[in-house]
Amino acid sequence: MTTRTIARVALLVAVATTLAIAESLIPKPLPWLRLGLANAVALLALVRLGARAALAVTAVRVLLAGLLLGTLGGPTFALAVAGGAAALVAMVLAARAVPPLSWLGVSVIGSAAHVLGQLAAIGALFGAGRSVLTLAPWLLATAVPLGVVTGAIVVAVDRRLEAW
Amino acid sequence: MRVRVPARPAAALALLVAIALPACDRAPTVESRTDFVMGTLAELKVVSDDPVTAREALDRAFARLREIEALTTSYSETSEPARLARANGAWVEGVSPEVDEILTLGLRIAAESDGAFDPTAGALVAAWGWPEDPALPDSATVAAAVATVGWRDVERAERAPGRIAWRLGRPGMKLDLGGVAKGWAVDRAADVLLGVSDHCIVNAGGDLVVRGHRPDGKAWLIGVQDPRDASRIFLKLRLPDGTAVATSGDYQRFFEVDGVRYHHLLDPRTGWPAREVHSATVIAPDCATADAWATAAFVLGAEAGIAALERQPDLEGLLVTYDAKGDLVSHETPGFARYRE
Amino acid sequence: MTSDLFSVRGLWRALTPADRIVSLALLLGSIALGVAARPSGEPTAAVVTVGGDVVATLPLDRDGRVEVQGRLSPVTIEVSGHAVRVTESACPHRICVRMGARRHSGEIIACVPNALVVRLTGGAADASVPDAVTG
Repeated sequence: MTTRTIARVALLVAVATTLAIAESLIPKPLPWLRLGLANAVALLALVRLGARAALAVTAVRVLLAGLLLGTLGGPTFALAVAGGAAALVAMVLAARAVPPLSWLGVSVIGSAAHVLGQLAAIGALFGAGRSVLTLAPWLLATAVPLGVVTGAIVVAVDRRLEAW
Repeated sequence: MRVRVPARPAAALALLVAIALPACDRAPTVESRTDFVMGTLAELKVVSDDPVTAREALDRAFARLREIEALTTSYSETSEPARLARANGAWVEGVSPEVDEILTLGLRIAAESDGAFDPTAGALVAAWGWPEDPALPDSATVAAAVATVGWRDVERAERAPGRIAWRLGRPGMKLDLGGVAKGWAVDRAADVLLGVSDHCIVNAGGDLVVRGHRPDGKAWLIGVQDPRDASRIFLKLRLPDGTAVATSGDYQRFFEVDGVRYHHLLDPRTGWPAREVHSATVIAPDCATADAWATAAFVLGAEAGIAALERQPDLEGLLVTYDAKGDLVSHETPGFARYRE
Repeated sequence: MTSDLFSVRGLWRALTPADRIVSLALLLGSIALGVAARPSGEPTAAVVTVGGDVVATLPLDRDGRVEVQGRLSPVTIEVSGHAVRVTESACPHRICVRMGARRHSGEIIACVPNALVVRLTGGAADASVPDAVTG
């Protein structure tokens, strides 16, 4: 990585961490259901800087947010890792899909993978009989429009970043 | 670089929040855990949209139950009742705030029930071998044990704020806090759960307290077991926020000798099992009070039991006796009916 | 591509055919998941634990009996007609045996001396089944 790239990754980490913490402050959010803005930053990193940068942004963001929110090492943190990792892998693969997906489509897949990754982690941690798993269809259905909207935000931000 | 908040992206963000938040609010579910504690099965339920926090609170609530059990049990050499008995009439300094509060409440209900409930009946319970090896004692053993029982002969002193001493004033006197400590522990476990949710049930073997309501918005629904048939519910209660209920029944623990049943609910004044009532259910604002009064009302019998409950504000009760044909006869305080489903 | 991303029409135009197929597939998948995961109401199994460890899981759609080792004695548990009961236990008060059969989701049979719990799982909570029992 060039110094330039490292600086950009660091900037995106800061933005993603801030958004992750801001999201955790919204009243009564489920710990495993986020608006997905922090993930949107990972997508932005993928769009502009590539898969390795997206991995760096996601990993450092999850770690920093865990540290700052005091969830590090706990089950909430495990869910964040599972969701972040699933979304990242899915988006990197989706970006190479044939026929091509737009960044909106990649975002939808990342959003859905985030939900599924967290549900899988909940199932593994707390047992598959968990009543929260009955929410899976709602969470997955919500993930699709959320993915489109966050994807649109990423594309809009990307356009405004031309000076970068 | 232009710094300008674009109006439409902001609107889109607001839309995003509006889409996501209803999905967040849909989730309150009942997180429950069962475990054996205080000689019974405890089941704790907490309504929460956050299973991680809920599970952690359930851990702490069970830890609190075990902590209170260790302090109050009669069956451990290191518990405070054991320390008080060993002191043999001398003052015991540094009694824990838990035992201080439980014993104070127990003695108050002993006074209000005229000794039908008595936390100093430890030697009597031991004479019958409850709960491990119950056996029929001879009359002399029972009489000797009854001589050690007497709630009036317990003394408390406050040496300094928070430094409490107690003494048991009769030779051979032993505490049995079981009839009130379990309910008190249930109340404290509910306090722990209230830290994470307004809605919970703590149930230790039928002594229970409810806070808030069910996830569907209705009051918690509590079944009362049929005294003749443990597989049946003979009555359902709707308990509002901050209500406790406890039941004492002669069907819970008993043994038979020559066709006669001897159960574990002893009259502290005679030393023998109380015979008239088969089941006493008491509703109170807290479980410690419900627990002790269920025993007291059971021992007092149908008429005196209902009369004593009516004299207490905030208490409602249902006592069940059998008629000559073996059918259930209900005796209840006037206000009990409003809790019926 | 300089399409308007902040109107529904603009968003729809920005989606490639592959995007639309993926989104539709995920929505259909969530509906399928919802149908598949729909709670049936009836419990599906009796889970037996001793000291918190699962020692047996009995499907309720097959009658049968199983003997498990409790802390104190062997305990016989029987499934019959979608209900479960403890039929034999050498514990002192045999409260578990006297509790009889249980058939609703979430209901429990407990044997304290054996540290044994039989719990009916699966299915939706029935609003008419009490949240707790006193007695």
